Amino acid sequence: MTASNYFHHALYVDTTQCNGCVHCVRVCPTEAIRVKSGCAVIEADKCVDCGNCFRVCPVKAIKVEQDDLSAIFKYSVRVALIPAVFIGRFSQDIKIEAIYSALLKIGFTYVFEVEHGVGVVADGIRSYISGNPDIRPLISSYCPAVIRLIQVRYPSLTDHIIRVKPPVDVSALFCKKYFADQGNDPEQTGIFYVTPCAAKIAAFKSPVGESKSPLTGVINLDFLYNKVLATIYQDRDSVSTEFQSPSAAAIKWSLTRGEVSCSSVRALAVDGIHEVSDFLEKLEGGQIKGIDFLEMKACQEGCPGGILTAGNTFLTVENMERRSAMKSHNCSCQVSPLHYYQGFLSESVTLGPVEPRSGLKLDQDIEIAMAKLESLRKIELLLPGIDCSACGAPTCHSLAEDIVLDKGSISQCPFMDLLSLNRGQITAVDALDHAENVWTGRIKD
Amino acid sequence: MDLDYNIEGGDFTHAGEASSHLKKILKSLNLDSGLIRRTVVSMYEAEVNVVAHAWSGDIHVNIRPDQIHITITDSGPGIPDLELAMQKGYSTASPAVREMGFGAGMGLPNIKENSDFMDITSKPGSGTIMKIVNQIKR
Repeated sequence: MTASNYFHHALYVDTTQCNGCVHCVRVCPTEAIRVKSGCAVIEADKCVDCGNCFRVCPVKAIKVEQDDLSAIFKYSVRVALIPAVFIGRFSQDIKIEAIYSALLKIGFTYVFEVEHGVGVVADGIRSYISGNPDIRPLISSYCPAVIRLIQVRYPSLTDHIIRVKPPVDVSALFCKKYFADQGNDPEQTGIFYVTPCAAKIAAFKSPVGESKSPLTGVINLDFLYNKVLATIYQDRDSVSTEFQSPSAAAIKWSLTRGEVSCSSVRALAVDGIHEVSDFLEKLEGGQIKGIDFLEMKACQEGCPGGILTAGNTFLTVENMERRSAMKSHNCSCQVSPLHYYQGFLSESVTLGPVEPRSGLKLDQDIEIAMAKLESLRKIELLLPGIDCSACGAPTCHSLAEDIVLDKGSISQCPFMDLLSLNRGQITAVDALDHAENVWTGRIKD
Repeated sequence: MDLDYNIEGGDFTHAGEASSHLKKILKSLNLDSGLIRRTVVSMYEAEVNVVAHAWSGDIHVNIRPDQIHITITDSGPGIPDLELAMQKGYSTASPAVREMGFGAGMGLPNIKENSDFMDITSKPGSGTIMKIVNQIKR
């Protein structure tokens, strides 16, 4: 299997719930969704797992796949690799010790925060930027939805992606090595990452720039949040657990500007998938100059805006900022748990090349593509141009594209059908049939 | 295939829209991403030149299976000394234009660098015609 024909996606449509309302169709940044036979269909080649469809679905028909929590018990060493945003999700009257101890009660044998890996990553980014002076700007590899967006829509920018692994990989590599060095059987060590978004699940199941993810499994943040909160409420007198917080700067790494604030070059932070897309569009066109480092996160406010973080984004941001401020205030001179593994981790931090996967071409052959493009432009002139999505495609342009790619028909457009009806080219029964093809079961007499 | 764009002098806010549109077209043709980038960058620089120096301009793009031809015709002051204008860093841009981040004197050299063929004919006082050709390798 190669990168171009296999992509695992963590988002899927529950066909029993979907009512074909096109909310998702209209917000997808890569125009990957169509409504067919009354149900949304996601095109695997174009989906980047950003989760925008999940956010807007009024009937919760977009689902995120979920690993079974009981899978952790297959291992004797069970590590919960939690991101700072997980702690940030809890209200400030819940002590961090209580969260750690609830995770242990649930069945994990060890809790480790992802952001301990930030130091190694930040060093890696710094030396990558100074070691590649000819490529500007360099783009952070932190957000897997952004990496996928670049692969699909901005393939000429793949070599701008910094080839340094994200903190979750560094922390997972550390845990693996640490527990092996303690005499544990690596086969019996399970490292489970608690994810705030679907893109990080996809990144685990089909990694980009790595042959295999160092993680054992992924657990959805919203699911574990509920479990932990229930455990805390059921047993208020939790045992206090010793834990070590990541550094003040590391706690904020997953927030918008978290990476930029650790950078000494001219750096810019962009968040929100559509804003990221607009920026990359201009960057690819040579319209943006003089920036050295770009931090890009698909969710607004960074990971607190992730679809599995589920709580109020701004409260989560404030919790994390406050925790970071308190950490820098009580600066105890703790040695980072990764300290003794610095050399090993610095050697393993390099990411392989990110391959382009263009999802925009009309045909492999340029002459056929040109002919298709000509007919696409003619069809576009016929269509009403109001982008109503009643055909099941996001815009009139995308319907025209579907038609030339033999994935759609002009009869999907209700305006065109009215015209044909008026001209006597089709009957009213034909028109109803056509509408039924898109809106199965929705048109009632 | 032919594409036509109009450009208004002085409208920096919308400079780049024509080249962004061309970029989408070229991507749908499955051209090499490096070629797309070079073509779009050279057209963007040409667009900015018209916006910064001329009163108005037209861009005509002709895409053939083996070549992309871009012709930019403007009505403007023209370029009195072409050789000088091609030098890196040479600029006649007004301070106002420079304050907006344009006019660093890299436009024409950048176009030359990003195209396989480039030709300028200019009549001082009436306008400039620039031709850019990029080869499509298969």
